[in-house]
Amino acid sequence: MHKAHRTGRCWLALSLLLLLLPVSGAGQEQLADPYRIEAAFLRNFAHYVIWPDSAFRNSEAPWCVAVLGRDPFGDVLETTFKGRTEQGRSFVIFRADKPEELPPCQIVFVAHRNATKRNAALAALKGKPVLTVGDAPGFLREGGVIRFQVSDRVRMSINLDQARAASLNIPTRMLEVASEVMENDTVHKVRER
Amino acid sequence: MKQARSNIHKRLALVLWGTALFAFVLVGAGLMMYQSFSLEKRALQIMEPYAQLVSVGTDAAVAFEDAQRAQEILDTLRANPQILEAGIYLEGGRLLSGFNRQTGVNPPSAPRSANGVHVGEDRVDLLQELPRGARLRISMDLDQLNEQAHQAAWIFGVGVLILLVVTFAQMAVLRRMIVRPIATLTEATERVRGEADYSHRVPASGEDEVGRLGQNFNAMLEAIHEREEDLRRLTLFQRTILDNAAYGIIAADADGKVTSFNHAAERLLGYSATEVVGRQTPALWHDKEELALYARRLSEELGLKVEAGFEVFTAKPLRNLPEENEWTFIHKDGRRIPVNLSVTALRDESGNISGFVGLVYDLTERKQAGAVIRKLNQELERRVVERTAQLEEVNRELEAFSYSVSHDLRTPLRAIDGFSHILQDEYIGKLDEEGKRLLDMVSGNANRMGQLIDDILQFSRTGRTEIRTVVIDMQRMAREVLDELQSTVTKIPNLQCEIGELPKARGDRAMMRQVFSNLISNALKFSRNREAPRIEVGGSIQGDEAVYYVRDNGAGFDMRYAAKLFGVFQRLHTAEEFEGTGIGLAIVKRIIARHGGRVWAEGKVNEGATMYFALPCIPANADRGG
Repeated sequence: MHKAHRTGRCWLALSLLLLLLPVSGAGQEQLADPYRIEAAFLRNFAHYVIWPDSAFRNSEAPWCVAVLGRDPFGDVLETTFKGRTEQGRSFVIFRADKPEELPPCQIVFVAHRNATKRNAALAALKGKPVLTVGDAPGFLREGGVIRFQVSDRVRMSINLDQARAASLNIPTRMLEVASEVMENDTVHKVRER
Repeated sequence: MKQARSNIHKRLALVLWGTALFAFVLVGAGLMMYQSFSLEKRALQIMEPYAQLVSVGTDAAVAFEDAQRAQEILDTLRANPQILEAGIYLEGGRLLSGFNRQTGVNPPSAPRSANGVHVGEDRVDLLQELPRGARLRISMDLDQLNEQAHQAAWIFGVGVLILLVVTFAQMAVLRRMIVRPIATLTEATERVRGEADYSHRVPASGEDEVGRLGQNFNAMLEAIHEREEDLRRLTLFQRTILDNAAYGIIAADADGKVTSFNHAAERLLGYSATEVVGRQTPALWHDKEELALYARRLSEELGLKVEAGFEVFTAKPLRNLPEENEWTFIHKDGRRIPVNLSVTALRDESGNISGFVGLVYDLTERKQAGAVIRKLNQELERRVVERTAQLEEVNRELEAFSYSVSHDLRTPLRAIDGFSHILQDEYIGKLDEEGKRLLDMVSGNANRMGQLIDDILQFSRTGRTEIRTVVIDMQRMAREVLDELQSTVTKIPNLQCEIGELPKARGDRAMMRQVFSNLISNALKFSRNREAPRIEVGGSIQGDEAVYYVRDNGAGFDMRYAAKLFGVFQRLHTAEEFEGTGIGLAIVKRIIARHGGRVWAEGKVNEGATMYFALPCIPANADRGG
């Protein structure tokens, strides 16, 4: 009886698999909500990237995550960070148009579509221990640290020079999952895909 | 016999096989349980390191949803052919990456099962939580693990086979070492029991218990054999004694049932042993009236009620008293036989009565002989009485004659005496000296004859006078007689007298005085010529007699003539030496004889004499009068 039961379960699993196959295949073509993933990535950065102590006011100070420009996330950021902590610090989200309007933040998503605005923001943040993230195609060249690329999935490129300039330490593990790493003004393709 | 052998064999086999089976089942069950219980653990042991590896390696890949990186790491698991499938599912349940060796397709969504090991029919799934809500699923083929189980089963099977062989070998060894010797021993014991054949021996070798059992059994048989021999000899000995004894020997148990009846008893009573063994003894050959009589006597003697049955014979032996009595037994043909029966109790080692043995002998001949002797004795007694009567008659006549003669002799003697006195008084002047001398002689002889006649008459009276018995103070009487004699008859100047303590006596006072008078005057007479005459009167109780004596240190006598001393007219000295008629001691003897006593004398010439007389003792309470 036991055996029959297991066999039955096996068959059920197999038929479910067959039923789901075409649906999964269709899902791979197009990402439903890339911003949700990007929000999750932002959170992960807090986990992997190592900031200098000077980046925080004190040991209890929360993470400061800011969005510059028009916010593409909607309420996704709030849902992603709400109630979370990383290394004992909670998250605070700010939205502004200019960096001057922001308190000292650790992660800043630069959403400006306007390149000038973007450059101005990046210039303002340059030299500070701030991880700048964006999805504009020339973001790294403009002085951003991490750029998101959205296709069938979300990929990221890392400007290691900029990170070093910002006193940020990006661990190898993170570099392993990056699609491009820019070092000494040279872009290395980590993987061919 | 076969039954016993097969039984012990069967039981041993049962125990051995039971143990083997038990071990087999136990080990098998243990093995199976180990297999099923340890499957999960063993699978986990294989899969967990992979899971850890994947968990660490895919950390960033999961965080940044890098399917490629994740796939690279998962693909390392392909190196282990046991891993069938591996997949990483993101927090939302979406498959990040994975592989499936069989179908090439992973299940598209995360399994709903909880984390941990899930054992399926032919595969084991391990579900593990990864950081950031992702889950890892690794599936493993069970074939490899089952292969181990099969190997264990094979080893187990071989073990069982070895166990079987060992059990067979053990059975063989046990049969040889225990079952067969015990069976042999059992056969031997049954033969001993059935045929009483003690000569058989069992083969007994080895130092173990079975070997010792055999040796002990042999030793026991040896001992029984010897004892049997001894018993047989003893029985033969007893049988011979019983069969050839002249006495009838009848044994009974404690209740009176006859257990043994020998040939002599058969001859005596006419019953054969087979007729009486097992029957109650008093019923057959005892006289009921005699039994009742003896029972009454015993009851009085022992002070308790004795029934007129078997108890009559056992009452005394039971109390350790000798039981021997004359009985009248009744022969089978009805004859009555006088017998002597002695009964002895048989006691066992602890002193309990186990039975009784009666020894019987026929008194018929002895009784007959006794009757003849009794008859002869009666005849003899009758004759003695007759003869005595005749003799007494003659004696009486003789005495009467001598009395009358003596009496009649007095008258002429008195005439002679009277006339000789007249001659002396009136015709003395007419006689010459010779005539005077002759006349004196006539007168002296007449006196002497008169004395003789008086003595004879007294002696004769002594025999006829009636005895009037009183208790006499003999000491006082001896003193009186001595004083009287000394003062009236002969005064002896330096006489030394000694009268000791004399026991009292019963007798005729006058006669006893006569005795003392005669004895003391004799003593005075025979010792008066001594320089230091000495008389001693004494007496003592010796046994049932009171013995008195009168001793002097006078002329004495030759012991050769001691027997004559007390005869009538028997004299050991001449009348010239010591006067006397020779009647005195004869009178003493007659008086003492009439009192039931006896007289005797001891003496030595010139050294004195001792006259003894003995009288029957008076009873202590008869001391009356004096």
